Amino acid sequence: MTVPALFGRVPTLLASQISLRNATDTNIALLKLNNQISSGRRIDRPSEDPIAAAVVGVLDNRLEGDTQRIRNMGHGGSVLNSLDTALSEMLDTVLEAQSIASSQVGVGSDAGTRVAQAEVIDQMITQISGVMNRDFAGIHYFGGGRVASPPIESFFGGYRYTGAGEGLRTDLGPELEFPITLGAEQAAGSLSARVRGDRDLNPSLTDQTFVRDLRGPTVGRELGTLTISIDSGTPVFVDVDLSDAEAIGDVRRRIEAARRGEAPRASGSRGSHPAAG
Amino acid sequence: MSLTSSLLIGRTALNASQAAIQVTGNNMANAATPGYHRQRVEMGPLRGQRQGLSFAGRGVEITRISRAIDPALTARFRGALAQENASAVERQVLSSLEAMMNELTDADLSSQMGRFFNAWSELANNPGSSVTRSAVVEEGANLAGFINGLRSDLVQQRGQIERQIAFNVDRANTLLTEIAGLNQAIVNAEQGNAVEGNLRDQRGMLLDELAGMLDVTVIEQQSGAVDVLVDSFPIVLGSTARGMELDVRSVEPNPQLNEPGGIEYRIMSKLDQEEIRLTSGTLGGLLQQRDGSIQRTIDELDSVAATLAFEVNRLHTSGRPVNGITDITSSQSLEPSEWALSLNDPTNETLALLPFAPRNGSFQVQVTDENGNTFDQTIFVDLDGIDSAGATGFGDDTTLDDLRASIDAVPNLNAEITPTGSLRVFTDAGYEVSFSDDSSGVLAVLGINTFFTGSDAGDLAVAGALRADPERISVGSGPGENDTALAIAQLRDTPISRFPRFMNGGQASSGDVTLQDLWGSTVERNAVLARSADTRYESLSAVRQSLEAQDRAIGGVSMDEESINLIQYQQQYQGAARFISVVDELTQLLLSLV
Repeated sequence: MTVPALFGRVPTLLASQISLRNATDTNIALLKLNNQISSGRRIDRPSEDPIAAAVVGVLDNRLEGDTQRIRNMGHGGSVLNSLDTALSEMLDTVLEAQSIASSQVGVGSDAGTRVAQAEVIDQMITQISGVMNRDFAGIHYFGGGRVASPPIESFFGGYRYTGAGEGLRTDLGPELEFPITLGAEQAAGSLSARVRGDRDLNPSLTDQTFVRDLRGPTVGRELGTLTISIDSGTPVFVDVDLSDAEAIGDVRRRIEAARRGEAPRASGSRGSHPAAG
Repeated sequence: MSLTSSLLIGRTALNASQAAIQVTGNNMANAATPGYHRQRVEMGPLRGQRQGLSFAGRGVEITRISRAIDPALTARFRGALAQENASAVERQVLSSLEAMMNELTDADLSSQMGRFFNAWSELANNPGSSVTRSAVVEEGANLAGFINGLRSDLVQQRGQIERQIAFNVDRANTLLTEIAGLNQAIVNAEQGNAVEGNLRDQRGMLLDELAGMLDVTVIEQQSGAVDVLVDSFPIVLGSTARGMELDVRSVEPNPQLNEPGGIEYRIMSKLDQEEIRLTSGTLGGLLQQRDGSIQRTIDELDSVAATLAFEVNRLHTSGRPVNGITDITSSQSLEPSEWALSLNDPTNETLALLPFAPRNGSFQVQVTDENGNTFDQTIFVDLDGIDSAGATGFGDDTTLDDLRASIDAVPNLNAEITPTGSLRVFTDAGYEVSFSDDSSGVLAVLGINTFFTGSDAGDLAVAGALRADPERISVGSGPGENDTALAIAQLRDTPISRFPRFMNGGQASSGDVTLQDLWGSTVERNAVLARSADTRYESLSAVRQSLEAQDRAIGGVSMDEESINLIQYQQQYQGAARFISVVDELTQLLLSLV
């Protein structure tokens, strides 16, 4: 507490109160310093330095996230190492099988020899399928995106791949995912049949057609506001908000509603986006 | 002039010095009494007596005993005290908020959210691990528990403020009664021609305490009584305390205007039943903080909790548990009268009061048989706010009944509305069902296969089914897949949209902040406010201290001064006594001549 400059007299109680307040202020300042020294932190509470605290908060969050992502990298590295080892084993086995299969080329082997060699190669194929069904801590690394169960199974005397996808992804950062497993069909191929599908390759536009399924410049974009001109003598311009239109039926109903001169009320409003085509 | 007249002069001097010594003694006795204003003895010569062509004095008299006080300074001091106290309340409340939030430590909400997302990231690495699933449930429960606890602390803090408000109103009423009583006592004692300093000091102390609670205006009357006004309402008029009271009333929520409702606290004039608006003082500060920082922080925590629940649930509903779903019931129930109302109809109150709402869109239903054959069907959720005639309205928009019928129409899948108003979806024997691509958010809103239940920080919890059986967590859209877990883990960095209820003007924001940013902005704003409150308090405190020091400099007791005064009055008394003794000797001498 400062002493006012215009004091004409010094009452006893005032003098003692000023002394007490000054001592208290000094003690509080000492306590703060003591706390900083003992904790090793300059900022104990965000209000002590809001700007610095905001930076610390962001860095703390980044550190927490990055620590996990380092763990993810370590985990991914382990899985990929196992995968690499398995691929190497498979390569060796395939090369050996190839060597065995081609060793009799041009030398004239008998049927018994060929049967024996076929059995050996068959065992090698079984060995390869076993390698492809290996797992790392429950992750079948040849299962593609489906890693819970062995991806290769016997199927009418051959083998069938039951996995799917390009690989199990791990989180390495914002919008940064990295596959740590491999689809067996990429590594060793899989049974394939005649290509067929149940999709109409030449579809008609209906009310149920999703806007997102339209091709052309709308891909990856959202609809926004469309301005239509209605000319029945005097042109009238009407804005139509298509931002939350899910299907073509929504677009049709909104345009019809606008034409009737009534602004449709959206069930949820979003920011306006430029019309994409 | 006679010896008798001289004796009378001596007597006046003795009386004056005795009274002065008494006043000095009283000052010295109250040297350490807070609020005491020193009293001064003012002496004057008695009117002289004509002695021929001149006048001879007749002694001394005490003209008045005054209080050393500056009324204008006192008024300024009380105003400064009210502002300082309001600022002290603001500082204290914001400091408590900071302590509750506990940011910049490992036990804060940001860290809890980080650990929750880390657990999902870990689950994405090990989608088949039961241990990791349990860890996700535990981290979710920890996060929900932390949010529940923080909200409970905030509500308790608000409750503490409400109790303080009630206490302050009671105390203020007591002070008003005491001030009115002292007014009467002062008027009786002074009778318009003297100053009863001690009673005035007592009243001044009470007025100071009252000024610390309310921003009062004090007007002194000729009689010596004071009237006390707050916000131009007289709360003390002379010897009458008019009093004030606390009015607590419930305000109903209004979904149409985005008003959440709640409990309102007002201070009323007891006699007039008019609202007294307080802008400063402890009571004014408490009212402002109750409706300000505390409520705003509760609202923002609710916003974070609701957004977290909705965003996680929206992703979780599109995943598949380890064993698939054969029978599931929504956690949100609707009243029977709402089953036929569209889901976006404002009169559908159960949904309208939720912070999140379904929107126009669709979702996919996949029904899978024992051989892994899957049948897909799209369920459209029409919530475009346009009726079948193309006009604005909810006439053909989707209702709970419509949704039930659409799901029930899927082969080998059944849906019903339970007696409690929940939507139950169950498969025929040998089939399981899963959902995906829910652009409408209706599954998350209704609580079908969600991770969290609840819609604000008070009731957020991990769904009971998941707590009982962590295997029911959805990790991916298919067996052994991890896309759901990965998407939830990446919510940490994904910009999300804030719900209209929590936005100024009721407009939803576009995706511009992450969940942690959302809470971070609350923390930062509170930090800035707390810092400003500190600065404001220090500034107002310095003003108050300066005015108090000036008041003390005028009215405080200095022992040095009083000691010197005491010596002076003692010598006056000794001189008077000696004078009387001399006059007495002269009188004796005169008598001996007779």
